[in-house]
Amino acid sequence: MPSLSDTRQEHASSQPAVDIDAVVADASDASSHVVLEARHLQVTYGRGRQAVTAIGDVTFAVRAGEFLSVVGPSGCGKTTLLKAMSGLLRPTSGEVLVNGTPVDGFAPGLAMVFQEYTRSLMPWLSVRANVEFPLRGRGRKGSREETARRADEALAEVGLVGVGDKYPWQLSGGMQQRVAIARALAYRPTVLLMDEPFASLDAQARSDLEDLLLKVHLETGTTIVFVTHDIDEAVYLGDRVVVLSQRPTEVKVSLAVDLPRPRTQIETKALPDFVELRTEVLGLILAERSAHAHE
Amino acid sequence: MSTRVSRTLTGLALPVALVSLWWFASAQSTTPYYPPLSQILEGFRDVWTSEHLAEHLAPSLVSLLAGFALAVLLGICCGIALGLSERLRRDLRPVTEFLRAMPVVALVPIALVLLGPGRSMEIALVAFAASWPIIVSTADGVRAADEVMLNTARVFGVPARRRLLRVVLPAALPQVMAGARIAVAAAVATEVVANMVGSSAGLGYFVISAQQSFNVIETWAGLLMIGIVGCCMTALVVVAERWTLRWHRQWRSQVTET
Repeated sequence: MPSLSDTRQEHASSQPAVDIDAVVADASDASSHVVLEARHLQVTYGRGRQAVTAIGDVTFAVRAGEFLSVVGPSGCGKTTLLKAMSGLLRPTSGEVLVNGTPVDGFAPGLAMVFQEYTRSLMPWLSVRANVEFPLRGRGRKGSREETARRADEALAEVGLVGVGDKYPWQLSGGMQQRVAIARALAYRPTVLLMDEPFASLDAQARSDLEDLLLKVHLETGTTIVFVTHDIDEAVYLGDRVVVLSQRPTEVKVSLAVDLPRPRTQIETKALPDFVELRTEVLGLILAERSAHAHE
Repeated sequence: MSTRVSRTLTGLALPVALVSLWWFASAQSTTPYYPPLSQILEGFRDVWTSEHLAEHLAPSLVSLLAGFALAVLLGICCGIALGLSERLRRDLRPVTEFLRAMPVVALVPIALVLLGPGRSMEIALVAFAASWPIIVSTADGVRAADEVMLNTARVFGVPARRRLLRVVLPAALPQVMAGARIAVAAAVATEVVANMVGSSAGLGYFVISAQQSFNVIETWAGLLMIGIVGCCMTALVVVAERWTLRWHRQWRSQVTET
């Protein structure tokens, strides 16, 4: 396992293009295959003089079963990156590959959890119907009973039992986000994309859900790409932390998180390695912010 | 006394007061143009328990219901098309704004010429007048469908048709129903006017012919029946709205509480 400083020097921000093989080799579990890859992604809005390049050149790879945290300074296009990776946004150049297949508007096997949980759940459907929603419709396999069973299993996995018949708006914010996570889990995605999912929750709900996510990751082995602005959260949850630069966004650094699992809020966050990592990431982000503040 | 009962009673207080005022103010009246309310009510009973029920009320109701149903169907389809396509909205705007602003009453002579007097003319006019509020509100509802909800469905691979039927339409339903409520009033008004001018049977015709033969009691009886029909139609739509939007009311009350 490469050490933290070795990794950092390999991917210094002065290098114009990130070597894909080095990035892939850096991923935590060398025996599993790459499930999600971004290659020289570029997203530019507008044309001519008013063109704004949100994403300059982003390249990284995610291995099966990995928990990848993505952090960056505010406004660095983290959400744009996730939208490009999920197929919601077509990149100006570069490509996204899911299990080797290019994403073109849509890729099977992707699930996404958004920050605004109230807006992503359908208020006219019960909790169970919401969780079942992606599993139903023409072309989907599985009987009604099987779908309902999968939904209930997913709800139990996120710690929600007996709320299947309630409506989402009858639940608290934390519970609603659990429903959104359950919906993604029931879908059994190749990669679970999460866009600052806990940012709208209070601190207690946030730590509860962080631990829930760790448990889910441990028990199901789902590959997770977790975008957040919270550095502690990124280090606490991830196997690897990708730090993005300010616009035009690039991968500044990819750091391995060598903290033992299972992780706990108190013990893990007291470890000297945790403190060192978060300080390093914070330092990078602050440096990024001040460098661009002077432009 | 429960709040629901007391609320119903306070709601009824004003109508009851107004009717009583009318009763007592007109009780001593001797002019033929403002007969006492007691006589009007008697006349009402006499007229609408006779064959006039079938002769005039039924045809009006048929035109009204058929025209309204057509308006709902057309309105929702056109509203969806306009709501989904920014381009269509922009290109058709001059036409839609012109037609929408046109007072339907002014179209009656043209309708008479094109379709001739009778039921089809009435149904066509009612459908035209009532579809506009539905088109506009459906288009608005479709446009306002939540982006986060739709993006979620897209990432999960829900195809466009299913997204339309299962995400966009249910999300637009509150606005569609609001449009339907406005459309009902337009439908009733249009039906009465079209009936007055272009038919030989129906509520509007009944009122006009009663007025022209100076039968004031019958004129009032006709007017009261028109009011009742309007109220009942609106009540029907409100009941339909309450039933389809059960989730919406509770959801809104939750949202405003937090």
